[in-house]
Amino acid sequence: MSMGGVARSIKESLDGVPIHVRQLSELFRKHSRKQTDSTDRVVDLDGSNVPEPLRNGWRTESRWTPDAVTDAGKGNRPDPGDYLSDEYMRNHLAQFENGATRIYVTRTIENYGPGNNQVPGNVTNTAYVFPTDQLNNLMNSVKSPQELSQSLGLPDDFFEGADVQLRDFAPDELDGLRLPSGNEGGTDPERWIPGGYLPSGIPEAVIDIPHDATGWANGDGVLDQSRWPGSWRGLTLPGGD
Amino acid sequence: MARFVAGPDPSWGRLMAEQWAILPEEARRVLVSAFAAPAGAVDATDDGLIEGGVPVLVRGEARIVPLAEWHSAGTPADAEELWHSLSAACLYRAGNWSLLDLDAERDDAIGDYTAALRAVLATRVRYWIYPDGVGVALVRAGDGSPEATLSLALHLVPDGWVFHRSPGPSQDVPDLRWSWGDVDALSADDRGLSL
Repeated sequence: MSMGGVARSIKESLDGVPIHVRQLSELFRKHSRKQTDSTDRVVDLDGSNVPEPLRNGWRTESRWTPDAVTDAGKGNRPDPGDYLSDEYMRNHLAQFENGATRIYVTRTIENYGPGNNQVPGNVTNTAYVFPTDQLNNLMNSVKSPQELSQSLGLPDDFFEGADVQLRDFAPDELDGLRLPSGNEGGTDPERWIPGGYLPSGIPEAVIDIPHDATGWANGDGVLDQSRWPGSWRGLTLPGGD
Repeated sequence: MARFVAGPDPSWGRLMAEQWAILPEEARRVLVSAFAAPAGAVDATDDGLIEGGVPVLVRGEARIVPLAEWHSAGTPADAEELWHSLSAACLYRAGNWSLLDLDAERDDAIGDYTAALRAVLATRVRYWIYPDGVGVALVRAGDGSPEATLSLALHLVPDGWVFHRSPGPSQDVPDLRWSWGDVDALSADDRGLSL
């Protein structure tokens, strides 16, 4: 069968697939390809690269499409509840029941604390987090720092000579745990997509960080880590000693 | 009055073999505290020194802030420190950096900017997208040969030059070359020594 025939066949088989799933597929494909540049064009029409839970999580009655959410831009994006079902959001956040973790560049957390409050009006102070158990599993499975950075949607050189650390947030420290709207400080404008997943399929969420959880450069001139939620953990990179 | 640190020869900004130059400490502090995008630099219309003695070179729509320049394979510790401090500040302001693909051949503004960066021997470019249409790029340049001049610079450019979700149309990107002599000239002007 020719490539054109293959593409037509896939397209026809997807006639019954909800348009949001196909758009999500395109979003995941586009943004993961930006990182790996290896996805074949034929999968443009293949919804299989959308994380399974998200395939049925988009509200069919929502006026928002995945592209419309991303294109609205940081600061203008809707609440995830406007386009994701309640059941989907409950199940997504249940992945964090054993706690959450974020990877920090040491210099950044020491200077500014664990939150990102650079959003319009600075009314929120939040941090993106991953489920601790899933992040641990990922770190145990990858073979190189580059593979880890690609899996986490981080720049290829993120771990290159980097001074980074983990911060674990216990289940009772996940204040305001919710799906990201894409308006939060620290949202990656190039890679963020709606639905609570990185383009690589790793789940993410955001939590609230106290406003006084500051660092050397943005607080009262002291570094008082007792104000910070969570606990420090060293990061052993794959392939390291 | 701005002063530029040059070492080990303490003469003003002069760069010789095995020597290097870097922004003075106050200028570095101003840049970091402004998350690499002080208003005076973003809005600059002519070459000059802005608050804190930060030099700004205007090249078309690009604003270039020279950070450091040196001759040697290794990066001076203060230059490395500045690279990481600015990266940390930008990371807090706008999230993870992205790496510009310097090998990309594109027919839009990103491709034009990338070509201009190749022309100045850029080797690594981290960038962030700021509000109000500003692209912030940290640029390492130099080919690493023993006689090469290596440099760090901060570029403030239209976000369409780097933002893959919203690339600008193809256009003429100005020559992005600079040398520490350009910085010296600004300082000389500042001291009233220009004839």
